[in-house]
Amino acid sequence: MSLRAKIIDNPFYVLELAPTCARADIERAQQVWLAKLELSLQSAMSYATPLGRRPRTPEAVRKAADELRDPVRRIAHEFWMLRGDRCDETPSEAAEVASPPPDALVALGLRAPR
Amino acid sequence: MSPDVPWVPMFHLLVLVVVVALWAKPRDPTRRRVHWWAVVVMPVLVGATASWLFDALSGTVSAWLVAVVCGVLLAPQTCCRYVFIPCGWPRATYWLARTARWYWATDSRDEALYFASLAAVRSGSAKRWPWLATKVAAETELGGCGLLAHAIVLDAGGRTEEARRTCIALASLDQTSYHRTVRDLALEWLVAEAMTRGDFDAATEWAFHPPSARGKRAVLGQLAMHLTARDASDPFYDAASSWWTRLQRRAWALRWPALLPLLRWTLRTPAGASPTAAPRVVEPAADPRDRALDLQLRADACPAELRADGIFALALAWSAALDEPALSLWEERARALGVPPGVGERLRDAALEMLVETLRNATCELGALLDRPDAPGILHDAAFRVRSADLEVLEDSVAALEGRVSADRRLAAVDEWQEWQAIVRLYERCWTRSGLQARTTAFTVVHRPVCAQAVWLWNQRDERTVPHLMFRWLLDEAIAVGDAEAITLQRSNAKL
Repeated sequence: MSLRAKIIDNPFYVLELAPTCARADIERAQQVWLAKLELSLQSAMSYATPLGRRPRTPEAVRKAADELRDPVRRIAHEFWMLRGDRCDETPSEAAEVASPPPDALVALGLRAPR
Repeated sequence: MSPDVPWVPMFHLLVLVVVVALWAKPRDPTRRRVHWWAVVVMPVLVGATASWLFDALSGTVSAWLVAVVCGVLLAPQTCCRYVFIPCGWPRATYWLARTARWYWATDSRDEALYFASLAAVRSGSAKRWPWLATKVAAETELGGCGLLAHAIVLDAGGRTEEARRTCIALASLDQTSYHRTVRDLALEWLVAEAMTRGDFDAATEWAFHPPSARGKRAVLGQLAMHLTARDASDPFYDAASSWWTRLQRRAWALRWPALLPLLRWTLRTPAGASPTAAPRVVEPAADPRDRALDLQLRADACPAELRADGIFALALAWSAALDEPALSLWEERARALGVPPGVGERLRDAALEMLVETLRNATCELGALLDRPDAPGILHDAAFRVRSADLEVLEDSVAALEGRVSADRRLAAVDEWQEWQAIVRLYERCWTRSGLQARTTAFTVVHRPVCAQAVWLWNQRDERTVPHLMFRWLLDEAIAVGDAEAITLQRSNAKL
């Protein structure tokens, strides 16, 4: 599993819980999010991660709660949590780029124009 | 036409010579020799052409036809270059170029393939390429020009990396008269490709590759030097230090109008500018774990752009995040949650897997990093895993090659070349990511089988160019790893 997948599927983000939360908080959060999803509340339809918002489903909520009930898996998820926002890079953030050079291979007749 | 000259028997004699030459077994394809009969027939043919031309001027249509046929037979390659290639007729170019064999005592198929590939480029039609690829694949023996044609076909199919590797191999050819042309053409391709990619440093290096830059290569080299903002302290500068030479070379660009857009673009672009985006400078996170995660995310997002110092920083960050004292905090947290001991090892294994994947996808050279005294243990561990996997793949490929050679199972010339190139790629992957020690190990794996393949191609299949390139490659690698025995052996082989 890639780091990106570990972060966006992190149960702490899915349930919107802090890493220091107690076991009871996990059960409560699961009930709350399942109830909200059943009512199709807009606020429950997605959750925030440092890599942007992701859709939240009842299956994801149940799976997240299961993951956090197991202490071995929970500590791993705590480790793979990224603090702070880190949006994906957009082209506008990139430094100004010079125009690409004309294709020298085409100019020399060694490549057909693409 | 003068009636007392026996033109008709002479024409019959010429046709006979051409037919015999086309069916004759070619000699060594790497050495150009003129047939002895060409020396005799050529002046006769020139006289006949001139005579028929005079006759044609008086309005005789048949004389025109005979004069054109004689003219084309006199200079088929010139006709290809100035008529058939610009018209974009690959098939006609191929067959006409092959008629050059009536005076060259070499197999002209190789050059015919190269000319046909240039004509296919000019035709601008994708339909021409499959025919040409079939022609290249059908060859039982490929020389330098045939390999150049193969590179152009690969590039047309979008396999530019493989085309580049083929041209790099051809650039290592020696300075004999026949090889020199092929070598210059390969270098010209490499310079133009590096310019197009925006790698002006590589373009400069290929342009001034010893012994000297000439023609279009020199002009492109000048443009690349301008773009890299090289100055008099640069080692390449000596190759073109005089202002007069530089002025001359820029003026030469006017000889090739197709280069003018590139010249205009170069003069418009400030020296030292890069057509690729500069990497974004990122504020390092204070927490070692956050920093490691942040760097890993960036590495995963664009593995091809990752540089060696970026990988080193990533390994240092993982080391800081997973070594003491950070690790004891996680052990403490694990105890609080009731987790059995060993959490630190599991986290380290997971991080190591990510780093291994990063090294596997990296395209930069990492060997020097491992020799640094401050290289973290996790980097050595990751490099060891990657090296073991790479060596295993290399050994499998080499074993398959060895089995095929010992069983005398022959492939088409182009497939032999591709197989060898695949082994070179695997070999380079081994050592560029794992250092000099891995290079030595990988060389001991490939040396004997590749040498055996080259000898087999030379002795059993009468191939010359491909085994020669193999011997030269083995010699370069033997020098790089300091294997004295292999150096002696390959030095004598490369002289062949």
